[in-house]
Amino acid sequence: MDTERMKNKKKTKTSKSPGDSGVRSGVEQAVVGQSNAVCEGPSTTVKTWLSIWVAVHLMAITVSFTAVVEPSSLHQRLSEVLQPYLRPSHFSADDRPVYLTYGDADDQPHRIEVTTDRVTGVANSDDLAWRLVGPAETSGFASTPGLAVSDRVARWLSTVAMLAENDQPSLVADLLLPLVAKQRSIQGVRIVRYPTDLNDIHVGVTVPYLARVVREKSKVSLVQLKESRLSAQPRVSAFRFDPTQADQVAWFKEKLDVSAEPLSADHAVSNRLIAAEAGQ
Amino acid sequence: MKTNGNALKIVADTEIGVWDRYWFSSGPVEPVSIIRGLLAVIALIYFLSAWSDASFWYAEGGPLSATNVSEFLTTGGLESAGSWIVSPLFLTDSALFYQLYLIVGMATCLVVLWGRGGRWVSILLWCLFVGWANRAMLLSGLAETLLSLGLFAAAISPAGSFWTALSATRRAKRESSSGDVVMHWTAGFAERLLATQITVIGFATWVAMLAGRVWINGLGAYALAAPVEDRTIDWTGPSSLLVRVSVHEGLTHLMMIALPLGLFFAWLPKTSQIGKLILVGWCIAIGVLGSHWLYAMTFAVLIFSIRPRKRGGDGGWDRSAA
Repeated sequence: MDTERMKNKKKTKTSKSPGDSGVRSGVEQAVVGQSNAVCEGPSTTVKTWLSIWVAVHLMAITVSFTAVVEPSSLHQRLSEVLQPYLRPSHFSADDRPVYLTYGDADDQPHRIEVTTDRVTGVANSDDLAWRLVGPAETSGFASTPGLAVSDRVARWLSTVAMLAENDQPSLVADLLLPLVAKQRSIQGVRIVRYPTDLNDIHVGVTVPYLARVVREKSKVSLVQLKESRLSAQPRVSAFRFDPTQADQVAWFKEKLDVSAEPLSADHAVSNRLIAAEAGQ
Repeated sequence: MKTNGNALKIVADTEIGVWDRYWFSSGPVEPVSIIRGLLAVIALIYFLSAWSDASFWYAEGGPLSATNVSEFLTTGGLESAGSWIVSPLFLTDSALFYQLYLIVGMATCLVVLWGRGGRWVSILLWCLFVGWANRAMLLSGLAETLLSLGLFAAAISPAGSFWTALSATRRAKRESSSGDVVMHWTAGFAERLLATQITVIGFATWVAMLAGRVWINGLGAYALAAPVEDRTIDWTGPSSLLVRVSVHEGLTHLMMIALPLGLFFAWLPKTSQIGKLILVGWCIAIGVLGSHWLYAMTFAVLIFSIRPRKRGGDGGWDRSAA
């Protein structure tokens, strides 16, 4: 046991001595190609701690990169537990597309456009004069598609479109307002999504977000405009009870006898009503 | 019982031995210096590309200014998620400070490339890079994560000049000798960490790709190139080869096979070069079709950290695989 400890001590000493400065001198010697510099491994304690860290680190990366697609609740919880390590170090894959593409709406190109015309609704918004803003508006190296600058804009717009489609207008406004607030002439803003060859040929340019810019004194706000939704109205039946019709009389008597199972009777009533209406 | 105990101890010792040999045996400093130098060049390109971001995104009144980000997180109830995204840049909205930060970042990249200032400069570069990538928040993509992992692991090794390491490796190859090699256990550890990380990420990428329909039905390669407005090169024109069904389907299937096969071959001493060649081909396809330039470059550089040992080697390094 003592011999083991002695050996460890000795190892620790040798591993400390060629520390940074020793290594640097070794590298410098190699630069001029004069010597072979070999150093001993770390102490057992260092090895133990490093081994634990390596295991946790690799596990954390694996969890983070595999949690992108559709994690189980356990996987998700584990990923959240590891966030204090993964996020500050930027080792986390978060929700970034590790799979590169799935050919879905997130991958489609988005652009942000503004107008100085008054935006009154979705239907006539296409008739207004829209102009592109952001890095894509200027020609030059930075605006070249696919390079780092335009990639960042694409990620930002894809996030905005996703938030708009998930009914988060306040979050969208937080991201877009700074861009439109500075220019007083801007009356409206929209995010445009371009189709790709993978989309249906009948799918053209879509607008996942359209908003009117409202300015009141020093306050600027965005009012999202949506297509008016169809509302479901109850159908008015033209069915009239005719006592001369034998089957209708039988049915009406049956309807009145709801003592046993009112719910099922009601279902039967509605079914008959539909059938009778279809018959007429 | 005693015999069983001894047998167990031997097995445990052997396993510990294999683990220790893999992680803690000495390795040459030059290969890690080359990888670190290349990662520093990619980080330099990244910092250069971010120059216009300072005034557009992060300056006062910008879409991602510190004030606006804090408001966004509060509105979305994301304060807890945001609390782990740490960066000194959240403390200011001054465009000048951001540009100064970028200048320091670019200067550090050059210092690392020339192997000056010891490993602390490499660690400083990693910190500067992480500070910027964390500040970018939802603007940062996969390339940033890969670069962060790469710069961190490479910083563990002792510093060395990229140019000197490159010329030393060339000379050693030309003379077919392994003389004049600087070895250190941290260099070996850094290289093994880089190699293991990229293998794990490679397999995770492949598994994630398998979950998507386009990577199975043959449309994956075309889906990468399809959003032409966001791509540097348009491969979807009528005269392009990629529009032919046989070409994009074949390419998709090749890409799906290349990733696991390349990683497997890269770890075998005899086929390591072929494996790396396959993986570099995969990176070229990702870069050219999908315009994921920084991601593809970083992935390709990290592949070269995979250097399998010779069978029965005693901690020595297989130079032929480098």
